[in-house]
Amino acid sequence: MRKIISLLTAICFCSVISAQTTEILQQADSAYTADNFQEAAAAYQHVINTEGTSAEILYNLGNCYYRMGELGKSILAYERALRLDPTFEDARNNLEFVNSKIADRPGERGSFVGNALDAVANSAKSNTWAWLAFACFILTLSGVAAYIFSNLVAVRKAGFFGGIVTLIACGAFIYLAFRSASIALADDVAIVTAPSTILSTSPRIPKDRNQEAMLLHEGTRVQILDSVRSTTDSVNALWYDVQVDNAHRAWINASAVEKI
Amino acid sequence: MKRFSLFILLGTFLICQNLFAQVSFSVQPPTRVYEGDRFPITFKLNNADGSDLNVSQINGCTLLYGPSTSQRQSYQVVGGRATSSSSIEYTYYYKAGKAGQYTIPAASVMADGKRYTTKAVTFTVHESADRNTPASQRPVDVDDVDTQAAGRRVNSDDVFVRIILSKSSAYEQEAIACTIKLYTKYSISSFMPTKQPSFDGCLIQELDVQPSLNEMETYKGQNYMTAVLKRCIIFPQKSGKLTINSGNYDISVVQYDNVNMGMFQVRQPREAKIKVSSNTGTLNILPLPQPQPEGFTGAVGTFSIDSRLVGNSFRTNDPATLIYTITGTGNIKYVKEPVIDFPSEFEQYTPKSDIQAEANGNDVTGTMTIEYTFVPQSVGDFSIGSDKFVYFNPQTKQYVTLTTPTYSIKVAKGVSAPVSSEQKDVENKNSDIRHIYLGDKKPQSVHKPVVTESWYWLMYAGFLALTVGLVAVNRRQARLSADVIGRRTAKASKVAKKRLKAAEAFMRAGNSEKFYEEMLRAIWGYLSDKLSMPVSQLSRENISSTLASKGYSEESANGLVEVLDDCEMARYTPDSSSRMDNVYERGVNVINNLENCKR
Repeated sequence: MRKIISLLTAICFCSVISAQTTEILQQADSAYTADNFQEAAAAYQHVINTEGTSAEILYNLGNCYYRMGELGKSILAYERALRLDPTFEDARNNLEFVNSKIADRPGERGSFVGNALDAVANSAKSNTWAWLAFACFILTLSGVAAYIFSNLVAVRKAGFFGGIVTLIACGAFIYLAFRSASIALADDVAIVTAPSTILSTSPRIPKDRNQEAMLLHEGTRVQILDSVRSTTDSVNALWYDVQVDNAHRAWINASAVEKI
Repeated sequence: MKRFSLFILLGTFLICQNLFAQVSFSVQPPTRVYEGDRFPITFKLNNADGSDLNVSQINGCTLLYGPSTSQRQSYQVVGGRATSSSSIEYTYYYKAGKAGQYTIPAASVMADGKRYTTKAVTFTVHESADRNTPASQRPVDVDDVDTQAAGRRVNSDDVFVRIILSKSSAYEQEAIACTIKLYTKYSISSFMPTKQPSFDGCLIQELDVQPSLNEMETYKGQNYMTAVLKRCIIFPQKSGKLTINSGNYDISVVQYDNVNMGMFQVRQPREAKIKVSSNTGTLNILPLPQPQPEGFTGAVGTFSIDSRLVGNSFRTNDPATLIYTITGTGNIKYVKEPVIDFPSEFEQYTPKSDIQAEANGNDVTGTMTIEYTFVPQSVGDFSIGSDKFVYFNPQTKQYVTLTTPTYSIKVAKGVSAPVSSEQKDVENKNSDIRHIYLGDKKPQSVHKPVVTESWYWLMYAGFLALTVGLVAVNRRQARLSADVIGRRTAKASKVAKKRLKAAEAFMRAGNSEKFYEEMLRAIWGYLSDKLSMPVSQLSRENISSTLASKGYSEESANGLVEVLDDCEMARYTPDSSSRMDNVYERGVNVINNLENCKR
């Protein structure tokens, strides 16, 4: 009983807060429409900090940052929005648009099969896959039950083969759910937020031109493979071993990137 | 007749143009004057008719007579362009007073409804004793040929070239007038520039000058004949210190040799070759103030703009024109053509631009006309965007933005429009990010995929367990249903046991009377239920027939009747308890038989 009361109060509390939040969000929307992007971005950020986030808020925040000319932050926001909802068509469109505006054009990333699987996994939310898998599982059980309980040969056959098919489908959906979840939860992908940064061949500040690996600009997506804390000239800095694309790998200062 | 009137018209036009020739009023100071000499002072009015001449006398000199007026007019046509000039000279004759400095006071005259005033000019009256000093010892003088003796060294202040700049400090692109002038006390027989002054970092607009040694000018207290060698307007292109390098000139001056011919002396001209370098001009060029407003393309000066659309009805495939005019003073020749924002449905041609600029005074004034020809391709309402023209005004040191209006154009279907059934693809003019999501955004603090939650997997386990359980129960049921008799027996004995429960209790208690009574009641009750008949309608006689009619075997009916009989009998005869066991056993069997019997 006590549990129920606390749950009810929690729901009431939530609805009160969300009324306030809705107002802030509406103000932010109108600020954006009135070209007041700074204010809109601040409001969205405030809601994210206090009430949590959603794909739509992050998407709007990304739009604000793009209008303010901060491409790196904008890409970061879109990527985060797509992690929450990989089916968010507008966010994907805008991410592609902003990606076409950044300075670096990276080469090929990942393998063909991996990218294809990621694309399939990203065509729905992880939860959608999970519930599809569960539905298939129930169907499998129904098939088993039909096979066991029915006296009709046709029903038994249908139950048997249907059960096998749905069992395979269930396994596939579970795999996709995991894959989608791992994409959404991956903490090894980062976006360059510094206007430009020199990557080093080793995890420290390049000493001369021979140690400079490449120059990356704001908005480029990198995959973090390793991290090392190094001290150069009594400056303690974290360095990431990053993979820019299949052909480029170097060390980047952690302060130049932000994880998605 | 028509042609003749055209000539008259042309002539009038030329005369009208001449009215705008520059009017000037100047004073010519006297040349070398000694004590007691008579000398003229001439006021010269160019290109106008003067009236109300106002001249003050020179203090210390005696006015002999004046003014005597002389008038001159010249008219020339050069390259189809007619120019005319006129001048009126008012000359006053004075007798010089004592040696010393004298001032010609400012004089003024009314011309074209405007009053022109000369500057006050000073001149020197030399001591009469100077006249007697040998000419070779007197300084060289323009008008004193005696001093221009051959063999005399030509000093740097006798013949020189000056670069005169209208200002020493200016903004980038601001017009600066530059005059290169020759000053000489000798006459010049030949003049050859060996190196022209160079204007590095500047764009130059040269003015047409015919160098002629005709102007008298006082420079640093001495009189010179001057000639303008070059006049130009320069537009500095970069900020910082700009230097105009000096020019070098080879000049032949004429000196005179006094040749004694016995009776009289003859002056014989002798040429002396000298090399002269001009001074260098320095300019301090200021950069244009930052930040430069958007749309600034480097126009410096004062400008005005105008744009107009030719015509007011537009049809598809009919060319139309937008005329854009920039008028003003400054670097108009280097103003970039504005880019007009035409809708992409209009076919555009390369704009035709025409610059009419003329340098006068210290600046360049002109008009830039740009003709944009466009052909509307589609029917509908379009707008030609407004254009911002930004220029820097060096006088106010501010940027000025002028805007042309936006034109709304209604394009009607043109007559000459080709019949085209060809469909066009929808064209994307620009692409941008999509607009923000305006609906409910539902912020949540926790985003966790269900596959990472344990309850999700517990649901699988739960449903699996449920299915397994169902199967297990079903298996047991199936096993039981396979043993049909056993099941029936079990079921029947269950019914019998239930019915005879009370009887059994009395049997165990040894209460035979109550036992039999209960046995009978139980069996009759059972039969009533079984046959769906009230007990009152049942009797020993009709049981057999009723059971038989319901499909029960005769054997079981007989058994039942037997048990009933035994019970009736035992009720009224004292009996041992061993009989009770037997009756009970048989009662149970009878009910079992009835139950097991398939109807």
